[in-house]
Amino acid sequence: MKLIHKYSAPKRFYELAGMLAPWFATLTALLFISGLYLGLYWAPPDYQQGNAYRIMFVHVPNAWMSMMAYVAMALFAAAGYIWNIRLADILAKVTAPLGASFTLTALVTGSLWGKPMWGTYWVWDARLTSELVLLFLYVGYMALQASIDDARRAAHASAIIAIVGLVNIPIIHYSVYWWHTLHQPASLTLTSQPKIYITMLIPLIIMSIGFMFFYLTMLCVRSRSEILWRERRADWVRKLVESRS
Amino acid sequence: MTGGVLGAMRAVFLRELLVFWRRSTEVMAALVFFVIVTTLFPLAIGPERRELMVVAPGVLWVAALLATTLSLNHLFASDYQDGSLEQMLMSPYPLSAMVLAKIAAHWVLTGLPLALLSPLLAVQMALPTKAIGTLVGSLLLGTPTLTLIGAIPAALTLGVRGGGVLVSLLVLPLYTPILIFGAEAVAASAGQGFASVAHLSLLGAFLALALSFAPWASSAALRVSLD
Amino acid sequence: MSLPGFLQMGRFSVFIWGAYGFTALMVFLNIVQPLIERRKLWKRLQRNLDDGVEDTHEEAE
Repeated sequence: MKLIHKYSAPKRFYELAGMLAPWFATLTALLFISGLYLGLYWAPPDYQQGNAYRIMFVHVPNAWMSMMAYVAMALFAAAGYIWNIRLADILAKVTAPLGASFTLTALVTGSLWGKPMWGTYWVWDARLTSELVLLFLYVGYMALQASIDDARRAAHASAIIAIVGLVNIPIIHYSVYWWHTLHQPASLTLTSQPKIYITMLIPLIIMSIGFMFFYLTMLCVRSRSEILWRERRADWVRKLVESRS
Repeated sequence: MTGGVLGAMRAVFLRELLVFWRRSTEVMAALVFFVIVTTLFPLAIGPERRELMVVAPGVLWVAALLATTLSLNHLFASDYQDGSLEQMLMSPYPLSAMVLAKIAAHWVLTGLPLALLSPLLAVQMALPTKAIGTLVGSLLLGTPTLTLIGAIPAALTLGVRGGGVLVSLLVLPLYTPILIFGAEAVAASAGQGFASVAHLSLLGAFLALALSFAPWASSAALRVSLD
Repeated sequence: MSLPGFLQMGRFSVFIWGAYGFTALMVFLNIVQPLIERRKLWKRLQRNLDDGVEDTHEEAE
């Protein structure tokens, strides 16, 4: 708790994030390179889907990250709202565009995977549908954030909508899932793949960890800019700018 | 003390009814919207009764949902402009109770007439007679939930530029479960699926959940907006 | 496996490379956009410093 307190001061976090970002970036690059090698080259083709299953190595990590980023965003926002931690407001705000881009990537890769599997780009599959609703939730959050000028009010207002969204996500997810099973035979889902082999699992896990570190890297970079802007009247930022010019 | 809260809630409720009633054009606008949208569908799809019957539950529910969304902008806006919201904030009673009374009054003047009007439109959409009861029931259970959830973004966007569109953007994703179960209940009793009791009870569960959660969240939202 | 064979990926090469390409594009945009923004921010901060005037464009905390 003491540690949190120490680093939740914007200045300290700015320094910490600057220190961590290169390490995270390196780790991300290594994970991506090895994950791509293993996923595209080392793993053998699937006997049913051929090579098409390799889309999984970018689709699934992005789908996971899209949900994890929403949870992270809502928790940051809640912390900022409840305890008035400005750093948490900043982290929530910069998480939103990242999460939205993960969601968009998951949607596009999912439909590109769907074409060889289902014969069409879009099927109202339960997972794709709730991913689409998630994208709308991100867009709403960002639109609200952008339309309020006052930083504090923007943070608190969007925190409320993020928390409401977080409460709703399981309900949305299960109702979409239920709706889908009612209307379509379950054989059409992406989940009903054959068996996941260890050769699929290893690249999948490596790519997932890679995307997680990618998120952390970009979180550091983006929050540093946001901190500088919000603290532009503080002495330490002025000194920093002076020393740079 | 509880009597005091209930009394205050009743006062807010009655006052809201009166105020909304005086601005009856705004109240009517949502209803007229509901009627026009459902009238547009047969024109677009064609007068074939069998085709209309298939899409009727979805069309009626989507139209009801959009009409409710449209009316959300009036929920707090005028009270925000004339400062009576701030008065409400100062009152000794919990804000969430006052908000609940406001939402109830708003529903009585928008959601309730919408549900009562729906059989007429159901006939227009060639919905089987046996499903009309379920339609009214699902709207009676569903529209209060829509208003309750919608109060949160309505409170958050007070005095924000582009508020109207923003409310729809924020609220429509949250409405998906209610839309799914509401339309499904009607479709079920029209004979395209399982029994509708399960769907209606789920709508009831959503209403209970929204009743416990939404007044509190929207009063927090009001506090943010009026800060 | 030869390079053309690798690129071909059986029947579904368009979809596979499309998916990987889109992901790469999104990763690229996610890297470039904050860097451009940061550059703009530094310029703005420096300008503020040179002028000695406060940027009253947006209200800070």
